[in-house]
Amino acid sequence: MPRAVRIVILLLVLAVLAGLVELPALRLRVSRLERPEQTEEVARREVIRPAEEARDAKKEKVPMYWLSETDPGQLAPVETPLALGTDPVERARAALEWLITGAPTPEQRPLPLDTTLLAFYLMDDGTAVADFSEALPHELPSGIATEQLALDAITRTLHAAVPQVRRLHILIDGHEAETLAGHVDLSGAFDLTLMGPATPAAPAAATPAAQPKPAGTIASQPSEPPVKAPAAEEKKIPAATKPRGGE
Amino acid sequence: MLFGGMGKKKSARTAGLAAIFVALAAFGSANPGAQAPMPPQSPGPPIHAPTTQQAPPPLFPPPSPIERPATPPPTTVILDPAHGGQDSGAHGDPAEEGAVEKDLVLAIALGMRRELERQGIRVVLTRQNDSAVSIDERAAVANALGAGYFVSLHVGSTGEANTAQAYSFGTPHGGAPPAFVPRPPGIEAVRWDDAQAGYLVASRRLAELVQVELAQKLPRSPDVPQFAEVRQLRVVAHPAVAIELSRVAEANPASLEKTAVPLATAMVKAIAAYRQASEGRP
Repeated sequence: MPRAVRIVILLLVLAVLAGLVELPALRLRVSRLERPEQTEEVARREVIRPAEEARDAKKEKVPMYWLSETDPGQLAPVETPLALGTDPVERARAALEWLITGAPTPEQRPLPLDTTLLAFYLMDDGTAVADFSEALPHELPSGIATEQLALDAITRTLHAAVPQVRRLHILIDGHEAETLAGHVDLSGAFDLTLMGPATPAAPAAATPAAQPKPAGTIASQPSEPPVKAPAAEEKKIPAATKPRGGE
Repeated sequence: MLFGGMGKKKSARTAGLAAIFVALAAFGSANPGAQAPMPPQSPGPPIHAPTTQQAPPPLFPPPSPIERPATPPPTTVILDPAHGGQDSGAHGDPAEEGAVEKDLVLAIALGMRRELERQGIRVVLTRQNDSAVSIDERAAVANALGAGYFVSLHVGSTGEANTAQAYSFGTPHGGAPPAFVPRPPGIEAVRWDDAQAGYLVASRRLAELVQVELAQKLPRSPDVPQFAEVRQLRVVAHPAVAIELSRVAEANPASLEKTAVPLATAMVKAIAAYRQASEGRP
């Protein structure tokens, strides 16, 4: 047998041996790639989670006003353990972001998942400004009911998580907006103090909230008695966390 | 903008109601032109002119002749088909194919007008075609009228099909609408943006009565109205409600348009009950 042929055979044998070693490793890597793609949502949560867990130091129970599992026409607060820290602005950001992304099921989201909180400011007098991205008005289903729920979810969650916030202005993409998505008024400031004292995670005693305000606020008080007022919603929410105003 | 009769006293309820009484009384007795700017009228009809006005009246029908103290003034309903023009409101799917809110509410409003006028009620529409009318322009049309009942019509994205929910202005947690600015003492003028402040009780009562009727006409509708911070209602100086029908993603939009007559009847009954309660006459 010529020497050249023997060398070729030797090389081939070596190649086969190398293949035997290498192939299983390759197969392992391919199978790892085949794992189902992560959804965008899961990816987002994983980005947020480490940050949450890094501050694991002390988690507190914060009510998240997501839509009720049984009746999507109402809010049902869920006591959620979150590490919000101490800085009011950081607390507000974390709470609102978790309100958007953390709902257990997509049906329970009061705000579109693509909504981002672009900025949050808190002034010394308790006036806060929350600037949401365009996705909020664009992807929120238009309608009085849906918009009011979205607004309530924001104000209630914020009120519970950050008691320092007394008034809230909502901006859309940096601009003042007349309505949220065509119906509900965004032009003024929302007075969170009317919701009564907020003591997160403490089922506070009922307090006669919503004091009659001077002149302008007129009339809202006496209007309630005739009917048991916003019936269903009224009943559901107080159970969880806090007294509500004015009934 | 001044609205007559707005009390500056702390007794909010009385002030609100007084405003309505004053407005209604004034509408009945005085010539309405003195109260608010009205568009130019054709020279007044002779006193004994035929009073049958069967043809659909223009946007501002002429006021009823003054010399008829025996009959109560005609009730005026301001129908507000929301959205219009570029703003199509709620739509069934993201592509905006199929029914959109602006078309549905216009069809319903026109149907309601026919039925209301048949029952002898004066109707003013805030838009009569697919045109863009701003929220403040609509309120200007309404607020220029001496007295009336404002009904904003909507079709929502969610909820059980073929039900209706009435809303009056307010926050759902029962507090005062937050954004109303307290008036400085001694100032009688009402901010345009706070026009509804004096009508919160009246609007709530009207919404209750409307919702009772709606629950009968459209089964499975809720029994009680809700509060919502509807932008349109905020700037209206009348008892004002918004009615949101469910829902725009309807397989058969025509079924929603058929609600016009039941809705009109519901409004007639609710307004009659409201007037009876507040004025002691049907």
